[in-house]
Parts: sequence; structure tokens; C-alpha cells
Amino acid sequence: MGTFSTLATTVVVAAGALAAFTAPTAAQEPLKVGLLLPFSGQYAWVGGNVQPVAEMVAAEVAAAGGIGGRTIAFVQGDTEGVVDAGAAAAQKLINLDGVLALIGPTSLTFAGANTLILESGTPMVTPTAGTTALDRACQDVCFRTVPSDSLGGRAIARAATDAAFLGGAEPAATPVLMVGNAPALISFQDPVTGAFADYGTPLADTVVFTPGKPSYRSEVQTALAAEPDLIVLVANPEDSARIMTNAFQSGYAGRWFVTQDQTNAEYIALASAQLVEGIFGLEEIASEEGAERNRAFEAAVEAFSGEPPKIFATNTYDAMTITALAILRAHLRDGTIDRTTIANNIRAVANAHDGDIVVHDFSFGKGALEAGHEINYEGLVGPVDFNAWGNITAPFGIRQVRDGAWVTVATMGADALN
Amino acid sequence: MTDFLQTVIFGLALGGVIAVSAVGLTLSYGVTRFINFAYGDFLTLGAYGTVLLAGFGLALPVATVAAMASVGVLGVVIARLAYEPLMPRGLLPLLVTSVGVAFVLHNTVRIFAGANPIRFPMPLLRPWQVGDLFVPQEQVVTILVALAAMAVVHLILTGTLLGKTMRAVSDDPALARASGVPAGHVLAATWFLSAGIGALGGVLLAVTQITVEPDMGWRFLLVVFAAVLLGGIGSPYGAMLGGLVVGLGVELGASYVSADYSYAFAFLVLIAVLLLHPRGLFGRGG
Repeated sequence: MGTFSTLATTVVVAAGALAAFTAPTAAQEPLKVGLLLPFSGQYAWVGGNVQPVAEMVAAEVAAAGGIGGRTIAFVQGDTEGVVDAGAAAAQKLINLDGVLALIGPTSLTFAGANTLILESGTPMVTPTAGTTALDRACQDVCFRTVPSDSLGGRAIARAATDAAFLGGAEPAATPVLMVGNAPALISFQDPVTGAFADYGTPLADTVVFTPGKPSYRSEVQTALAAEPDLIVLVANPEDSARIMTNAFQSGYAGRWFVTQDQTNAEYIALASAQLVEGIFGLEEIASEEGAERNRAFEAAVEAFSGEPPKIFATNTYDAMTITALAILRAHLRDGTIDRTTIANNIRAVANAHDGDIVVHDFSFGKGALEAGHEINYEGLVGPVDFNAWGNITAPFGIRQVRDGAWVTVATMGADALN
Repeated sequence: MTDFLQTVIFGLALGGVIAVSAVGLTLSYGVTRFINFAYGDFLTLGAYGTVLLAGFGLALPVATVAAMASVGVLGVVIARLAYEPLMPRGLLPLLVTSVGVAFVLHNTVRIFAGANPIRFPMPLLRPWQVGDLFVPQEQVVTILVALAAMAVVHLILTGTLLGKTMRAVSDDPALARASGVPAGHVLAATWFLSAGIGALGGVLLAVTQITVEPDMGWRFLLVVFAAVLLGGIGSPYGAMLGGLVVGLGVELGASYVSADYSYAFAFLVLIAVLLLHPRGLFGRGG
């Protein structure tokens, strides 16, 4: 398998050639996939981060000859990051545009779109929604390539209370939780609170705050009144940067534990390396081989979009590749591409079965499927094996900022969370 | 007591940001009698302009002044192109147009700067400790700049011919015009001042919230409106006081009521004041 950078160049050239020389016919109408994400409003960055990676996978599909000669075309459904706009966007994508599958929604808008998704049987593979509302939302059409907040919250508590997961640092004795009151964030509250109690170190205090405020000094003051030695911070990246800065300005010199949204280089740049030195973070972790693929992926995204991959990029690559492989398998094995056949083929290409060939991208997967083999997609976030409710149980990495960069100080398998 | 004083310090700093922003908005309302919904985006443009100019190597204060001037000029251009032709048609078309202008502005910022938040280029400074109190250095700067800006606005309004003509147009536009006040000139100066002060408010907001993002001014507009209404719409001094009250209300509410309802507490103060004094703290009768 070649590197992603070589692949990206090939993809761009091939996609251009396809676009230039292939006249569309009825049989070659593109396969419509909806991007049910915020493209405007406070969370517009989510759509902005996801779309280029989804387009890169679509270009890879085109370069590999498409699916039955058809390419993938995206239709944007702008949820604006709010529930009612999310419902309207889902309505448009599903009923008006007739998309075959959805990438999204986010935790922010799942509540507005879930009924329509279920009723229409439209398969959704979300790369961003960790909300616990999705834990047992539906069995047939809901999938996600990001771990549930239930699991993430428990992993944070487990790591924060055990020196073995903190690179030898003292476990937390008086942890405090600061959590934003938005669906994508508050969903962590119960898992984190319950897990800290389970592991014998109940939270000293919980501060629920309104996201999007310019300053959190009073909230920080309230949190610091409990004299925490570690603050678990569940917030979007900009609020996290504000809260950590406000705490620094209030004299706090204790530790922080942040969620996946902040465990990336982009957050270090946003919050400043000086501020985040020593903080802990949680991230889905790949194997050594996976880490190498991640580095190649980063180069490929940069070559394709001109920018380095951002938050949710790896989850998006996995979500979109699984969707494309499921469409392909529906075409090859069922002879029909529709919402039902796609949904039915998602576990077939993503989960491990005896005799499957392990694949990591669309091109290789296509070759295997066309040769009559069955495949097991293993992604950039690790194995992507969906349980009965479409959730994954990727192992976690406990990371820490050291010398201005995230390094992995421990790994945590799902068995450590019992 | 320490906690209370600490919260008051935080509230004054946030109040200073709101007050400066509210002065710009109320200035333009005082002269034109319409609420410019695109005003929040002048805050955004001021913050982004400063980030851009600081990126070219300008010192932060210089970059801020240059951004204020640039946004001031843009404010005049927007008013000339989008608002002044509609003024004879009444307030509703103006109001709707200003909402449209707001969307155009913050989406333009998004196109050129991206949707992801960017860190405002302020150094990270430990606070001064005064007894048990922590006094963040950034907040001291914010409060001083806000006080200076309000003093400058006061001097312009009371000590210059421009200020007097602005007040004359604000008090009685027809009488002012009949007395030979050059309305076009006053309008242009008002748009410039309003947008420029808005840009300064944006820079102070960026210092406070550490990051800048395309919607920052649009989202902050509600709080600015609250301050303007609380002070008495059209009154710069009322806007200053209103800003400080709202800032204190937000921080006290977060500390003593609930962090999740801090804005609600600020608006409760607004409602209470308006019930007792419907024209706001400095609102004029008649």
C-alpha cells in the first residue's frame, strides 16, 4: 500500500481527469451523501473540519473508478449547531435531496434529527457525536466513529485516579468537574461524576457553565474554592482556552484533564504552549502501525486541502471510508444501492469476522471486495467494530503536553474501565 | 468578603468591555435613531484587524489604533452604501438591512480567516496579588483602556464642535438642520466614531476572551443591547453605566446564583430597572 501523500496526488489528478472526460449519464448519477453538520454559527468549524476530509475520501473513491462507475457527491445540510435548524437540515437532506447516507450529525443536533433518521431508515455515521443520547438510540442505522462520552468520561475518571495512567504523577485527591451546559458537553457529566465515585474519589465540586461567554472568571473562582488538585474540563476548544487562561490568571497552578476535542496540536496553538504544558488529555489511540498511518494521513490531508487535519479529521476519514465501502458492498453483493442495503452493509465491512481481509482505505477494500473476499476496515482511530447500538470501543490513550507537544503516557483498554 | 471583592474586580473588567462597546452603539442610535444590528461585527472586525496587523509586526496598541481607524472608515462606507439611501423609507428597512449587513460581514470574516477560533496575540501573564485578591494584569489594562475611551468620548461630546453638533442632531434633528448643522458631515463622523469605538470594544473583548472567532461580535451584541437599554438608549453616559452594571451582574450572578444562569441574572437586573424606570438609567423623558 502506498503512502497517503502519493495517494492524494493520484486522487487529485484522477478525480480531475474523471471530471473532465466523463460525461454524466443517468446510470452515472453521483451517489448523494449528506453532510449533516454545522456550517454556520458558533460551531461552523466542525463542518469546516469534516468536509475536506470527506471530500478527500470521495476523491479516493473516484480515483479508484468509483462505485459501479458512480462518484460520491456531497450535499450540505447546515444544522447551525442548534436543534431546530438541525431538524430542518435533516428534513431537507433526507426528503428533498434524497441522500443515501449521512455523515453527522453532531451531539448538538442529534435530538432534532434522530426521529427523521429513524423513520426514513437513513444510515448515519457520525464522526463527532459522543453524546450519551446515542448510546442506545437505534440499532440499525446509527453508527459513530467516535467513542461514547459514557466511555470517555469513565476513562478520564479511571486515569485521573490511578498513577499508572498519569505517567507516575500523583492521582487526583480533590478533583473538580467544569462542564459546559450544551448537549455535546453535559453528556459527560453523569459518566464522569459516577465514575469518580466508583473509583473511590468523588468529585469535590461540579461547576456547570454557559458555553460561549467571553469570560469565566467567576466560574473558575467557584471551582477553585474547592481547592482542586485536578480539574476535569469538558468544554469546546475556545471556552477551554478561556477557562484555562482565567484559571491561570487567578493563580491556579494545579492540573487539568481535557477531552478528545482538545487533545490535538490545534488546541495547543489556540491556548498557547505555555498555558497547556503538563495538562492531561484523552484520545482514541491507534496501534504503532496505526500511528504510522495517521502520520501519512496528516500529509495526505495537507496535500489535498492545503491545511493540516483538524479536530475530527481521523474520525471523519473512518466514517466516510466505511460509508463508501458499505455502498460498494451493497452494489456488489446486493445489486442495489439504497438506504437499507447501505445500512445493512456497514457492519459487514467494519466489523471483524473470521476470514476477513483487514483493509485501511477504500482502494484496497474495493480490490478485496471485487475479488470476492470479505473485509474488516480498521481505521485511524483503531479498530472500528460497531456493537449492537453502533458504538465503538476503541482503546484510549492518556496523553500529556510535554515540551509543547502531546505525548502518550499510558494506554487504556476497554477492560480497564470495568 | 474577599470572594465578593474578587468578583467585583472581574465584573468591572467585563463591564468595561461592555461599556465601551455600548457607547459606540448608542452614539450611532442617538444621531440616526436606528439600531444597527451590524454593530457587533465592527467588534469582530476590530479584533481580527488587530490580529492581522499584529501579525505584520505592529505593536499591539498601534495595531489596535490602526484597526479602529480602518473599521471606522468601513463603517462610513457601509453606511453610505447600505443605510443612508434607505433612511427616507423608515426604520424597518434599515433594521432589516443592518441584519443582512451583519451576516455579510461575519461570513466574509469566516471566508478569509476560517471558522476556527484564533488566539488573540496577548502574552500570558500571572496576576498581581493584593492581599488575598488576584488582580489579572490584562483586566487592569482593560479597565484603564475602557476608562480612557469613555473619557475621550466625553471630551468629544462636550468639548468639540463635532460633539456639540452630534448632540444637537441627537436632541432635535429637524431643529439642528434648520440651524445650519451639516447633517451629512455629522452623520459620517458618527458612523466613523461608532464603528471605531466598536472596533476598540472588539479588541477589549478579544483580550478578555483570549480567542477571536467570526461570530464573536454578533453573539456579544445581546449583552451590549442590554447595557444600552439599561443606560437609556441614545445616552452615551447611560451606556457606560449600563455596561458596568451588566458586567457586574453577569459576574455576581455566576458567583452567587448559578454559573449556568449568569446572563439571566444580568437580564433580570435590566428588567427590574426598566420596570422602575422605563427609559433606562439615563433615558430622557418626553
